[in-house]
Amino acid sequence: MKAFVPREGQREILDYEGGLMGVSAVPGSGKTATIVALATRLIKEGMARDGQVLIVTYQTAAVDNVRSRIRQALEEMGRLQIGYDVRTLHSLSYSIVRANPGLAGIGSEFSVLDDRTSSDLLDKAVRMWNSRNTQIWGALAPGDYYDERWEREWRSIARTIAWTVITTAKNRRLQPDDLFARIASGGGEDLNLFLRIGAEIYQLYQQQVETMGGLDFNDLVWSAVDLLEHHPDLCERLGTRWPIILEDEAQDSVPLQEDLLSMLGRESANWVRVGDPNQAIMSTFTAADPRFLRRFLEMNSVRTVEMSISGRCAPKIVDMANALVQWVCFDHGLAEVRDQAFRAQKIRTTGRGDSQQNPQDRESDIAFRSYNNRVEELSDVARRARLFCQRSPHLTLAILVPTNRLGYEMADVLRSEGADFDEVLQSAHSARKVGNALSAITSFLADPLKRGNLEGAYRAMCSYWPTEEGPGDQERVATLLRSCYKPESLLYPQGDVRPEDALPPVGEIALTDMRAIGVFCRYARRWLRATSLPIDQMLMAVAQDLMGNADMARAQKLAAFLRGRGDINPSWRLPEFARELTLASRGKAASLVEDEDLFTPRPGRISLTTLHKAKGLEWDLVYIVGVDGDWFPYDLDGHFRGEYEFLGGDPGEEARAELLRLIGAWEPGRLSATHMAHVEVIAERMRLLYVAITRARRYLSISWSRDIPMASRMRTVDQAVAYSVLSGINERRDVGRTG
Amino acid sequence: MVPQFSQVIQGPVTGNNTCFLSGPLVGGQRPVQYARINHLLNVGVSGYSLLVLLPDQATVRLFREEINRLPNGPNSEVELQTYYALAVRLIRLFWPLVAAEAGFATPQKAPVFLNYESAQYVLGSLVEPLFSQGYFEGLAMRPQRTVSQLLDNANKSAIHGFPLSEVGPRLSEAWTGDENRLRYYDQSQHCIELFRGHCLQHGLLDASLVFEVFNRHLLGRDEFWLYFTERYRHIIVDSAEEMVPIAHDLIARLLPQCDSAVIGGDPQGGFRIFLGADAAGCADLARRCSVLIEAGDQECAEEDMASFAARCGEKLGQGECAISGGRSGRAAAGLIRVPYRSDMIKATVGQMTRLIEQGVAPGDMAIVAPHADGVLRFLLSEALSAADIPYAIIRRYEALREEPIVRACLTLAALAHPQWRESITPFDVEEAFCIAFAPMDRLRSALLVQAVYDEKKGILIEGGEVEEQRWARVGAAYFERYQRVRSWLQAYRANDPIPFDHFLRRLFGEVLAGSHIAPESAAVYSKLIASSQAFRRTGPALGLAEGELGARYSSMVMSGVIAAQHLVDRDVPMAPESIALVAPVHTYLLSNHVARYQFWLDVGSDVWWDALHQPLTNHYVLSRRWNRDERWTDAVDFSLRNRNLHRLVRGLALRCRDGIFLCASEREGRDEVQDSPLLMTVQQVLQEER
Repeated sequence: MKAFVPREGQREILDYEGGLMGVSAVPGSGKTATIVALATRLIKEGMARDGQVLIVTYQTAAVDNVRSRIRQALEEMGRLQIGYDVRTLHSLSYSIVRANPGLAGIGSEFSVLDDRTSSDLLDKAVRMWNSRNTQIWGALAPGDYYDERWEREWRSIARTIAWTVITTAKNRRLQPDDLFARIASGGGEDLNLFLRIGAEIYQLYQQQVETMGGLDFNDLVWSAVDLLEHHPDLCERLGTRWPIILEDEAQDSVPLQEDLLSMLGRESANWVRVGDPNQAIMSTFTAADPRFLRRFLEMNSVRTVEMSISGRCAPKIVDMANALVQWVCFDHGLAEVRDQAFRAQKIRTTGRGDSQQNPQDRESDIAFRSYNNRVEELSDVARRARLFCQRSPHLTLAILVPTNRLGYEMADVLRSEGADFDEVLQSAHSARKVGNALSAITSFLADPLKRGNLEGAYRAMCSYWPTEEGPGDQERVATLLRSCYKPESLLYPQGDVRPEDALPPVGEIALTDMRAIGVFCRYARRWLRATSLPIDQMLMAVAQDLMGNADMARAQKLAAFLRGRGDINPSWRLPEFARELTLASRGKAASLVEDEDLFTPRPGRISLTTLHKAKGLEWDLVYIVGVDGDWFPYDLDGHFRGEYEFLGGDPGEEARAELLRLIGAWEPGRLSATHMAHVEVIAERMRLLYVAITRARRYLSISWSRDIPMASRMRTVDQAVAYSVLSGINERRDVGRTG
Repeated sequence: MVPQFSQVIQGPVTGNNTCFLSGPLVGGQRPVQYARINHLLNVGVSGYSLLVLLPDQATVRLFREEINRLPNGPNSEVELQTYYALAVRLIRLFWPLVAAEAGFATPQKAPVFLNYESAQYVLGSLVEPLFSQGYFEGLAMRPQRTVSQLLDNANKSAIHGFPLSEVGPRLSEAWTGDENRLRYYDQSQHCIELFRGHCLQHGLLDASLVFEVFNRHLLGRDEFWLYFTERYRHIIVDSAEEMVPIAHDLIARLLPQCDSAVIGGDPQGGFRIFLGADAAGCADLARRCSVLIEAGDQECAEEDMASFAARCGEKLGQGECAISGGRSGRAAAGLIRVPYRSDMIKATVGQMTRLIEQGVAPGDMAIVAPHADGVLRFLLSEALSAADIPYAIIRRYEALREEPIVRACLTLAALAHPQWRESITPFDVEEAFCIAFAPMDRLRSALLVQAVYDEKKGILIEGGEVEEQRWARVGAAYFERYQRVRSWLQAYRANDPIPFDHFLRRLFGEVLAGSHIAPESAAVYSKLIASSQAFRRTGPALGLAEGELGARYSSMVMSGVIAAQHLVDRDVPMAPESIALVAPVHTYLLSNHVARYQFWLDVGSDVWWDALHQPLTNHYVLSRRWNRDERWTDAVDFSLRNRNLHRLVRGLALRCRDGIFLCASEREGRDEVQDSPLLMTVQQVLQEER
């Protein structure tokens, strides 16, 4: 590993000797490398005594990354792998609770409900509430009566209200009963109706969660916090175990995380919080709030360090990012956006002598492009991207889209262009792949005679074909298997019957296809034998045959998941497990796998991902698509999801604001709760744009379309004001250069 | 064998010669005890006067094998028993003496002894209505687990000798966590008192009543005590640390009155702590003996191993390391730490292969894991088979329903007993056909089931009604076999049902038996028959009509009730010498196997350190050692877990001669990062030695 030579900003962090430190780190400033170097130094000097340096980060993929870097550093120093612990918030909470479930007041074999299960339980709770309260929601319908359309729409609204209330309440450690008590003492029936609705659905939801003996993710962290709060000896013990805490991605901290880490760090008060408030892009749909980090950075007792030097982007791209921050902080039309969106910090390029020099301006460019319609935009971007890959196969390239939906559209266009690309959209590709493959194979094993199952199993196996010869012509083989009318003779030929006799009489079958069918049948027979095993062993038997290590880990998780389901449902057999696995993989397969792979862009291939998922990555060329006024609203007149005029605004946000007001965490100001929520949306979108811009090392393209699809119609949208501002700056700069 | 132990073999047989052999079991107490028994018989002591108390049935079998080798005459018949078996036998013998006093409503009726399954059934039936009233709501445990813990509570009160009425209060007093738990403790108390009342009313003796009646009532009768002490003049006790406190009380009471005694025990042992094993009681017994012969760890095992165990104990807060010699670093032959569990298995097997190439026999290696779960067993089996390493997986006996042959036969049983009104899915019938018509593949089985099984009516149709084309696909050879099985079922249905265990025997003999049944499956089947027979025998006492027994039993098996054999008697067959042994940690420790090399898997997992979490019980709090002024705090919990972990580490290390490989993956199956107290402890020990 290259020796780490710290620069300004990093040096101050590496000199850390204890206490509270807050680090604001711009994109590309070497945050992870600095954390690793600091952790390694603290371990080497024995600063954690008999305990461990605890590093808390956001995703399991990041855990792997940090862990392997520390491991490597310690190996190079000839030290044993002790003295550190790298966790996500959830795995940290899980281990605290798991060691003490009784004290936490939960069953010993609690399960953490995945997103899908939580989502299902929420849907059920909403349905239950709706069925008991038709009069209430019926009366909210626009117009004089309600119909099926309103019922559907209301279900979605109620769900959003409930989820907002649940997340907010749990992050403030309010049980449903506590919330009801607050509502009762705060005004009861006079209080915001949506808060009351949200509280009731919360109660129904939580009853179901408890019945399952499970905890959702918020409950998990909450339980850990409660344990530390109510059991000082435990808190002390864990504080001794983890006397130093390094927190990464602190801008995404949620209230429960604040509580947990501050309690853990209470005794020793050694807590380093590293993050970039300007890259907080989770706050509108989670309880994350960049204000926590910002407040921490402003505390007197906190030593604040800025890592403002970055060697990632070419200077003109750095300037563009800084210009965005500058404009929003000082010139944006909304005062609240000026206050909240960004911390006024500038990215600086590296100086001479720095080991990571910024790409030179002469080897970089920024383009702004407008299109008449989305189809034009996507086609042109796809074409350009493909050409760039051909001309510069040694460089990396990304297309960043605001939504998964647009991503899927872009993927279709890229496919039709014949482009090579890696798709990193809604759920982790590899997690989906594992779930889908095992689901298809399990469905076949549960019902091998069912039409389509044999073909499905073959297709699943194609993703992991075990022999070098390959799966043959997939479409031809799949067609043959689909039309096989005697699968028993194919898989278990008896007497003089040959396997090919079981296939439809289509004439000569290619030898490679026949061999592939032979391989498939061999594995299918093996797996059919395994169906007598308990479900977890059976699934592992299949996974073992096909998958590599990382996928095996996911398969193990699925196996354990199904085993858990089986324990709760002892009458289940393979068909029920197959159905459960199919549901799981159709839903958010990534929900069974909390993490995602740390995606590594490959030269010569297009990376297609969302603005959110791009965080932490970088490419030589970045296309940012769809930068219109719809997705990047400028003021409160814009179009915001969730707002209903006839409901007086955004019911979810109104409920949340009322809840926060009840507990003294918010005071009404100039703007209504709905508008404040919209301000947050505007602010976060600006940060998203900032993140997107700073993904590009050399080349940046920002584009938008005037006409975009909306349901089955086309809608005309405005250019994003940020787009106009930045393109103007870019133009003036270019004119200045050319004189 | 530690040399100093052997001096007791030919020690005096009169004059109250009581000896305690203190040290780990690997020190060789057992050979001394075999030899002592032999000596006693040789000098004319009647086998009838020997009280040989052993910790479990597996040890009984071991001792039996040794004793059977002895060439002694007709007076050499020696009774070998566990404390429980002794109690049952004597209660049966002296029933009229104690039944009324013990509170049984019909003392004139013979007692009915409940095994674990039947006790679960009775208690389960009693508390089922209470669940619907909201008892234990919020715990979200399967009813079987709740019932199991309630039984545990009753048992604990009996084996520690405090009144049943104190169970709930003890738990509540100690509890410092969530308040809801207090409600559960009250409910738990109500349930066990309900159960006790029912048993007394109907003459049923579960384990807790066996212990209470024996300990409190029978042993308290002068006439019984006279008989007992006149009969048993010589005492042999093996693994005293694995025995329950009331067993220690009995031995302590006998000691001053006996002619001789040889007691073996390890005051630092006690792996069955969750079943009431009391190592501290073992230390008390040592003090009561006239002769105490102690062997330290380093005398009984390799010095490096003893040192390693002691250093780990130091790190775990178990006191300073008292072993001066040995190098703990040498005990650890290697630390395997890889990203994924499958990598861990591959690396483990790879290392085993290298050792075999260096001349180490497979039988000299043991793999232990905190839980040999299904996934791990699968991965290991595949890897060991691929590497051509002969192995035996000693596993905790899982629920019977996990076995295909059990499911198959219960499906056929359901088809034979339409009065059970059990819903049988086509998948169940497919599985059953694969076994009944083996070798039959799944697809042909599915084809057959599609054609012949009427799910709504729960019947199999006549084979002749199926079209020929279908039979052609299934295979004409199966026609006859199908007809035969169908006819058998039809014939059975036409007559009155027979006792369920008889049915199972007939089913096996007349339908299932054949060369295609693997020996392991046949062994499982015989467990099923034995289990159902035991259930049937207690049936009338359970208020079950003969006709109900089969259905009830079947439903118990399919809902996952663990077979009685699992809990009463851990069957740990010793692997032949040429086979590498794979076992869960506790099972391995109780087998007393010694290996040259051990592989500890999943050392990064917290499961090594986890207590047996049971929200309705607590074997520390419900122990006579528990100070009732204490509270169950995290500090207490932490300390006890460390103590247990040390116990495991010490137990394993002392059973290893040449080296321990510590194997960890960074990600467990659940994708949780692994970083456990065991791994941290070991790393600290190794780091210090560098």
